[in-house]
Amino acid sequence: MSEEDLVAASRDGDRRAYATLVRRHAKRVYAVCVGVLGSDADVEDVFQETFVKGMTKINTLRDNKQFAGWILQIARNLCRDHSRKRRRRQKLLQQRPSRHGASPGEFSELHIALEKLPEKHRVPLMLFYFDGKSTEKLAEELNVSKAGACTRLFRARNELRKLLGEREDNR
Amino acid sequence: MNGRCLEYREKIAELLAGDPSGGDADAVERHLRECPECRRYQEVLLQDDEMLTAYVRSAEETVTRLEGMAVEAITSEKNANYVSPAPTGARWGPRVFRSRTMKFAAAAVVILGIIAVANLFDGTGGSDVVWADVMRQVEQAQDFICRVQQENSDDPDLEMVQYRSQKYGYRMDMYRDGRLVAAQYFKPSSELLYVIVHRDRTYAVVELSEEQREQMLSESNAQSLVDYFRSFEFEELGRKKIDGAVASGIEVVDPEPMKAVFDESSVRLWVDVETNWPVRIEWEGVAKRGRVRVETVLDRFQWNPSLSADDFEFEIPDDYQLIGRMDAPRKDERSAIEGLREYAGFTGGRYPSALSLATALHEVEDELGRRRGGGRLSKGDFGDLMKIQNACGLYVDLVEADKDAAYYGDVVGIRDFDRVLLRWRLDDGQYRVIYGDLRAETVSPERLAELEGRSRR
Repeated sequence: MSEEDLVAASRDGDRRAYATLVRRHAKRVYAVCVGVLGSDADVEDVFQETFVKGMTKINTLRDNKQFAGWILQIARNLCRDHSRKRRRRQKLLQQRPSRHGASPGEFSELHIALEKLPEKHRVPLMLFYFDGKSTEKLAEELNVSKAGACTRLFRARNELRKLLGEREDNR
Repeated sequence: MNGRCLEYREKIAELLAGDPSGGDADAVERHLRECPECRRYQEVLLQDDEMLTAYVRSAEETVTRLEGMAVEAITSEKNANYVSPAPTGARWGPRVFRSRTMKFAAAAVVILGIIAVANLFDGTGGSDVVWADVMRQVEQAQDFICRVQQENSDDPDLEMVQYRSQKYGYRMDMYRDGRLVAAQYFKPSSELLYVIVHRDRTYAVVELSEEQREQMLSESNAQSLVDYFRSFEFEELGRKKIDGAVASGIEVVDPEPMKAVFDESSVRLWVDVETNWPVRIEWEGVAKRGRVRVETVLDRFQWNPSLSADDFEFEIPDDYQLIGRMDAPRKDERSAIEGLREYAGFTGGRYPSALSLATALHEVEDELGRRRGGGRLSKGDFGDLMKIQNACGLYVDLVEADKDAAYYGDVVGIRDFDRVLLRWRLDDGQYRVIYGDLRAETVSPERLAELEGRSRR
């Protein structure tokens, strides 16, 4: 079933069709959540919330071909809402963000570096690696040209390298 | 490292990303042979790439688990209402009472809105019941009293008692620790709803439109309750014991009532199988995609308690301060824009993520708390903030009238001058569009499609 058919069926209340869309887009939505929120416990909530919201709002999607960009935009917005709340919460509780996802022990240096990496670099990096390492897909997801996507990836890699290098130098 | 190394490094990264571009790959190869620093850069990049790939692989289990949870949530019967436009279940009578139901819902906007605002100020099996008989009996009730509890409000100790009389109007007393702390009053002869906060020696006034006044009158009558349950399909809930009596229940499954206040809501009615009188009504409203959930329970009903005019009399002591006056909502384009503008002014340019009053109020609450150190709304703020109900009301009307209305406040802010915030179809097939910067214009369906493509980016 094509993506457009799945979206059309979802509009008609076919939850199994929507579940297929969830499966198809789970990785990239997760990538955006991790990209924006970092290793935060809210990632799981926002991931769920994104797909539930997508389901409740699917009738507002005008062009069935645009589901991918649309669901990622929902994820980004929800992540930003959570980020704002998290900042307030941390300020109040004076807590550090909690860890999430892959084991911190195994990738502790990478985790710390990713945590410090600004969102503008972390999102392209996560999208690229979670979504099949394709610059074409990344360009679509970021809504930029392929060359633009490569440039962002290049900068993100360099920033990440700097952060990883700093960690190594400090040891 | 020479001046061209940066250029080559970008190409090295592109090659690593699986994007070799023609002759560039050969040129990069040549450069790498000559430049040890860039070779070192390539090695490090490859190491980072391997690490990131392994990291993502290790997270796949988490993604699969989350994916499974999301699919389960979506396909579970519990969430059937989210996407099913045609709820199943028994039908009680024709849906000819729809407009009256919407009146009930619109009246609830006022009451629930006030409750929400009061919270801001506070800072703080088979059925053997013949439902037609229940409805006939309730329809004939002149007045009733009941207790109202908000199950998970910010103020769980607040207990409310509601008085409703067809002849004398509406009153709600709010108690904390047995002390009367606030009350609401509405009289049939008046167009004003009063909210008096005794604890703070303050009060607020809500001006009702003629339509709303009629709605309040309708709601002060048990008839509206009957109409409400007649208007929607319902499902049998079976029996349970309530206050020692056996009760039988039904649940209204229409997901749209009161959507000007909440995004979703459901209502359950429990009736004493011996007397056929309602003994408990449970109302659940959800906003902000489930993050705001209000459960209101009406119980301890007294039917036909013979209320008198004295039960609805009130006086506002001279030393009570008027803290706000809420104008009647005006559901036209201009007023909606004004409400959105005022709201964005409070939130630094953001709009409510959904056009429901509960969502709007909860989303602005943090902003207010931060700005005022958790303090109270000023008189001016109160009136300005509540203008958002104009936009909520307009949107509900447009949805109800099947005008192909859509709202994008979750992704569009006041700086998005070229993105669609709210749109609806006009009678001639054109679309009226309000942009993020609150300009409005009429566009063709084709132009709208183009604009909305941009809005979603």
